[in-house]
Amino acid sequence: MKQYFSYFKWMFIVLGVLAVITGVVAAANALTADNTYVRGNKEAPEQRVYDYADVLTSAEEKDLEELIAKRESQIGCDIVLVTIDESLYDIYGITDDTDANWEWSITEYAETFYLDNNYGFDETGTEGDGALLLHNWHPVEKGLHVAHGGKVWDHYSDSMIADLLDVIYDKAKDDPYEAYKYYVENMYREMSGKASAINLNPFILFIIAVIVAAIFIATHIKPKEGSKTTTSSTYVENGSVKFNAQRDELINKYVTKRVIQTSSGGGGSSGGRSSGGSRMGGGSRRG
Amino acid sequence: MVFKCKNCGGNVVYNPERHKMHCPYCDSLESEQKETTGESLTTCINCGGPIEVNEFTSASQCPYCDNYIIFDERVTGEYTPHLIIPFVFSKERVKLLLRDKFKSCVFAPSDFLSEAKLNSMSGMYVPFWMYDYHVRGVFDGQGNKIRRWRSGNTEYTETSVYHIYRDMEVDFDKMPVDSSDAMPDATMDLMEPYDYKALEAFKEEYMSGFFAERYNQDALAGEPRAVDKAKKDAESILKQSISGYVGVHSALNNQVTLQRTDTNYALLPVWIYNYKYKGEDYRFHINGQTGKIIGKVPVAAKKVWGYGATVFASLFTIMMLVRQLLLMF
Repeated sequence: MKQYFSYFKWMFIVLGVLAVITGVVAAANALTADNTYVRGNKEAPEQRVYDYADVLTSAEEKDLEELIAKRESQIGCDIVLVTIDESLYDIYGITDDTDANWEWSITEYAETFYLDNNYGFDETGTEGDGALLLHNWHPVEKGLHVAHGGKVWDHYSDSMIADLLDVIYDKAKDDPYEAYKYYVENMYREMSGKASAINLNPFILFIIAVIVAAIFIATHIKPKEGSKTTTSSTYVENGSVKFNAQRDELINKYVTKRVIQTSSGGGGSSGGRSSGGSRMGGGSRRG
Repeated sequence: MVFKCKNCGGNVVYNPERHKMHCPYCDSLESEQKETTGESLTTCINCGGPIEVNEFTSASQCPYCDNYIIFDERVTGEYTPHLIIPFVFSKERVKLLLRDKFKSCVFAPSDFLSEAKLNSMSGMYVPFWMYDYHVRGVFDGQGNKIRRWRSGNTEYTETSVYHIYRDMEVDFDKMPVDSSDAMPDATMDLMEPYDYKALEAFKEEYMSGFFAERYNQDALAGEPRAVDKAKKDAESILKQSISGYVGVHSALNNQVTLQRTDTNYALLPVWIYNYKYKGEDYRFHINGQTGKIIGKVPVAAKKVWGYGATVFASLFTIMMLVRQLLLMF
C-alpha cells in the first residue's frame, strides 16, 4: 500500500489540487449572480419549437422548449426551431426545381417566419439577436436552412453554418430530437464562448483515459529477461583473424530493361453558391 | 577446509569490495588461517553438525554454525580449477543493482525486492570449461551486384555475377561452457561475457563466503556446445567479409573446421536470487563480476488491475475537472 501511494503521489496531488480549485470556483460561481440576459423584445411569442412535420414527440418538444428557454437567457439570443413537411414551390408558385429556386424558397420561408413572428432577443427585425432552424422534411424539397440576425449573424461564418447543418443533417436521419438539441447547444457553445471547453466530450476523455491506462500497463508489464551481449568476435584472440584467400571474380554480367508506365492525373474544381436578395444571414443544405 | 580468524576464531570470508579476506566478526583483514583437520562431506569441520551436500558441491555453508566450508577433495587433484574470476559485486551491491534494474517493474509483487527476500540471495562459483580453438573457414559461392539507372521512360538493371572465395583462419580464446547441471545452459550463455583480464590462477581463499561446485562433466562431454559456438562465430566473421552483394548463395562445399588447442577449468562468479510467487519459482542470475542480470520478473495480476484502474480513474477525473473548470470560467 505504501508503495502504491508513493508511486501515484504526484497524480494524487494534482488530482487533489484540481478538485480543490474546481470546488472553490464552483462555490464562487454559486455565490455570484448568474450572468443572465434581460430580454428587450416583448413582441415575440413564447413558443420556440414549431414541429409542423411532427417528427418530435410532445415530451421532446417540451424538453427542447425548456432547454431553449434556459440557453436563451444565458446567451441573449432567440433560438427558434421549425419543422415542416410541405412543398414551398407550391406556396411560392415555383415550377422549376433548380438549386437556386430551392435555396430561395427555403430562405424566404425561414426569414419570413422569423421576422413575421417578431423574433430577436433584444429587438425585432433583422438586427435582432437570434437564429431560426428550418427543417423541411418534404420528400422532394427536403433540406435545412438556418436564418440568423444580429450578433448571431456577426459570430457565425458561412463555413460554421455549413458545418452545423452537416451535423444536424446526419444526426436527424437517426434521431431528429438529438439533432435539434445539438443545434440549440451549438448556439449556446458558440454564443457563450465556451465552445472549446464543451468540445471536450466526456466520452472522448473516457476513451483517452482507457488508452493511456492500456499503454501504461503494456509498457510496464514487459518482463525484463536479459539479452545476449556477446558478439562473434568476443572470444577472438586479438589480431588472429587471417585471410589466406579473399577473391571476388566477375564471371557474368547482363542488363535487363523495363518501360516505366506513367499515369496522368486529373483535377476538379468546386465552387460555392451564393444567394442574393435575402434579408438575413444564413445558409442552407439540401438533401 | 575452513578459514578462521587468527584474532577471534571467526569465519573469515572473501570480501569483493576490499579484494581481501575479511573477518566479519572482528573486522580484521588478511587474518585467515586454513584449517583442514577432521574434514568430511557429511559433518561440519567447524561445529560437527550434519551437513548435506550433493555429489558436485565443492563449497557450502553449515546450516548450524553458518561457517563457509570448502571441501578439499573437490578442489584438489583432478578437480583443481586452473583459473578463477573472484566476485567483484558483494551482496549489498547486487541488491542495489536489482532494485535499480527492476524499479520500473511496478507490477512485481510487493516483497519481490524486499530486504528479507534479497538477503536469501547466495553467491556461487559455477564450474566452466574454457576451450581454445584454431578455426579454418572456407566459403566458395556466388553473389550479385546490382546497378540501376533510368534513361527516358526506360529503367535498366545491370546484374554482375561474382564468384566469391574466402579462406580464413581465426583463433578463439577460452570459449566458455558451464559444467553444472543445476545451471540452465541458456541462462549461463546469457551471463557472458566475463572480463578475462580478471582471470587469476585458482586460490581457495576466494571461495570462502560462497557456494561452489566442481565440474559435473569432463571437458570432452562439455565440448559440443563450445564447438557449436565457435563454428557459429567463425561463420559470422566469414559472412561479414562478404559485403555489397545480394543473393549470396553457395553451391559448393563450404566448411568450418576446428582444432582444440587448449582447455582450462575455471570457476566463474554468479549470484543467485530465488523468488517464489504463487507456487512458481523465479530465478535470477547475476554475473558476479559484471553485474549483468538475467531473469524474468513475476507479475502480480492484482497490481496490474489496481495500478491500471488508478491511472484510468485519476486521468479521467483530472480531465473532467479541467473540463469543468473551463466551463466555469
